[in-house]
Amino acid sequence: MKKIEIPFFIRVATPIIGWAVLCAFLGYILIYLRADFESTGTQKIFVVSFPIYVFLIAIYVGLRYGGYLGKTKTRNGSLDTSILFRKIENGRLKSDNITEKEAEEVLNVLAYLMQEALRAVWKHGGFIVFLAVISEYISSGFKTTNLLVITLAGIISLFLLGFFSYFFAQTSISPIIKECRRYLKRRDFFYLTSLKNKFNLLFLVPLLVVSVMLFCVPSVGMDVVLISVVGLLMAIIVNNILYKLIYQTFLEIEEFSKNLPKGEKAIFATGTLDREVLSLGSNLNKTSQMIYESKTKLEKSQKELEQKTQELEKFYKATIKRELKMVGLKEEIENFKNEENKT
Amino acid sequence: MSVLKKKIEFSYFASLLAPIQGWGLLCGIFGYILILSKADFTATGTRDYFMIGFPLFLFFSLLIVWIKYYFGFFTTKKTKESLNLLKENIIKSKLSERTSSEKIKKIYNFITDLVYNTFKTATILGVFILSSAILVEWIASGYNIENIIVILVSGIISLILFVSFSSLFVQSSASNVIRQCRLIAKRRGIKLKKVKTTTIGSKFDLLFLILVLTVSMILFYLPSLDFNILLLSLVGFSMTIIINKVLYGSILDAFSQIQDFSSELSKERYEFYTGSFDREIVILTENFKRAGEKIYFSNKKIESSRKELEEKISELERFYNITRHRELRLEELKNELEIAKTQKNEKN
Repeated sequence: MKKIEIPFFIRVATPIIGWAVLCAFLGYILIYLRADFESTGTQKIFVVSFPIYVFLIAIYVGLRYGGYLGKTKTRNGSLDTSILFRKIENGRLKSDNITEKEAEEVLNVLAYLMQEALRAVWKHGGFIVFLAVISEYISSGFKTTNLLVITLAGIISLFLLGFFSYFFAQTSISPIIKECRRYLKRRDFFYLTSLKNKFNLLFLVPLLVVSVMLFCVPSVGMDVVLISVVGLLMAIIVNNILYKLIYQTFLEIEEFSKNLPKGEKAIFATGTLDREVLSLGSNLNKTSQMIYESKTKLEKSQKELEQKTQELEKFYKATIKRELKMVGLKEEIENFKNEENKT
Repeated sequence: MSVLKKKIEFSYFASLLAPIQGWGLLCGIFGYILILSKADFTATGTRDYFMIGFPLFLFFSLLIVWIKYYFGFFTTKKTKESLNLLKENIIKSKLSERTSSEKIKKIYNFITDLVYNTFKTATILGVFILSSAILVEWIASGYNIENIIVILVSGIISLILFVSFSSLFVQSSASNVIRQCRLIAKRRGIKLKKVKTTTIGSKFDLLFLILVLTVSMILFYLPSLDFNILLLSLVGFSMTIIINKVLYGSILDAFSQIQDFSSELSKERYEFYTGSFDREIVILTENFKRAGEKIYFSNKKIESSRKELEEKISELERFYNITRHRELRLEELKNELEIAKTQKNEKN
């Protein structure tokens, strides 16, 4: 049975579009819970129109960035995203006929798409919110009752969508980026993010979930607010301690690895009890020892070589001196012999 | 003023203990609020007992731990010795370089054991507070069990939070001294005992536990629960799970990549590539690449240097053999000249 091949762009776009749909669904429930559709009589219009807007925009985004609607215009000219179809097969670069230039082109398109993913979700997500607000305003006979709720819920969803779609894009294109870097000679890397920010974002989701829940519950008692505050405080403390420890370990490894090529006798020690870090530390120490031994061996070998070369030179000089002396002696003997023959 | 300015110096063990006690207090407050908002104290008439009794048990338990470990009361001789070792050899979280190898081993064993013993101690303390609160409520209410379930459920939730994270607090505060012990041990060639390890993956999972518990509590304590709120919580949970998996999955991937690279380094491999966009990982990969190159090219240089050396040695041997023959020839010539000179003198 032949395996159906999924185009690379669809592989990349699916998680982002899926996440966008989930965020839109959250916004949909938020609006539905808090908006007063009874007084405006627009419940049916909202229930039907909002999903249609989301569906249409998702299709448009897929077609546009997938290269199905021709070249994509960027700030630096146009970009042919169809290279992804030509050069990527089964989620891997077609390694048999790829040049450095093509690998760079693929990398540029992917990097552009990753950056664009962030802009696109803000732009198109904002457009959906705008459409929902306008249709509510018109269909309710220009009433502003629900506009604030729609805008607020839209902003919360957009916020979640915008912040995390970038990481979905990163995760999806990461294997191809790795392959592209193999073909490239240049060592400058761009669009880098920080692990520290990712750790901070881990906390953002619980904060948003709890806040949204409190916002949507019709009557919130003091005890529920207090529980939420203590719960969030505990989450902040634990998050801070956990990520600080893990991030600190990363920095320690980074600092140690910077000095590894220098070949000095160094020991990597960490205070963590995490299995992954301990095994990494042991590998780093082995490598450090190996580099140090290589360096010492090389130095010793070069010193020995120098010594032997000097010895050879000394021998050479001595030999030349001796040869000259021998020539002198031979001449002297010859002279004696000649003189003897004459007499 | 000078007295005020003088910094009060806490012993190292106090700095290990303080974060866990703080966390214990926070978990206690969490349980206290949960019980106060759900229990029906008007029916049992035990509100005052609970309001005063619970904080008292909490305070009393924390005090016992403090007295036990800080002052060394009610402890075994071995623990007392270890506590003294910490006091004598660790100042301001810094292990003295002059500490003997035997003492370093003992300090390391005590601290790493403490990380796991905390789990046990936290459970015992939590269970003690919870059972005391239940007992007081039961007796004070005239053996009424109305609020016992609420106290039990809330207590278990707080206990889970306290116990799951308390050993992480010790890990975090003890990490500096554990690191110094390992560093000194490696320098001196001392073998330290193997310790039980944790994983980074399980730590990320724990982070999710707090959110699940907090949201569940909010849902549990809401006066009325409708379908829409449940749906909202479900979507929120799904989003959190997805994000946690994507974010921490990428961090864990980065770690396993580095682990793979580091294990390949000693095998003369220097082509490392990463698909990560995290600055730290990209820099690390580049550093590993350089280190790998260093090993690879050093070994190549050693190899060529060794070959050159062998050539020079054989050249030297060749020279020696030639020179030895020439030396004999020189001696012969000298003798010949001497004979010629003698013959000439005789003739004259």
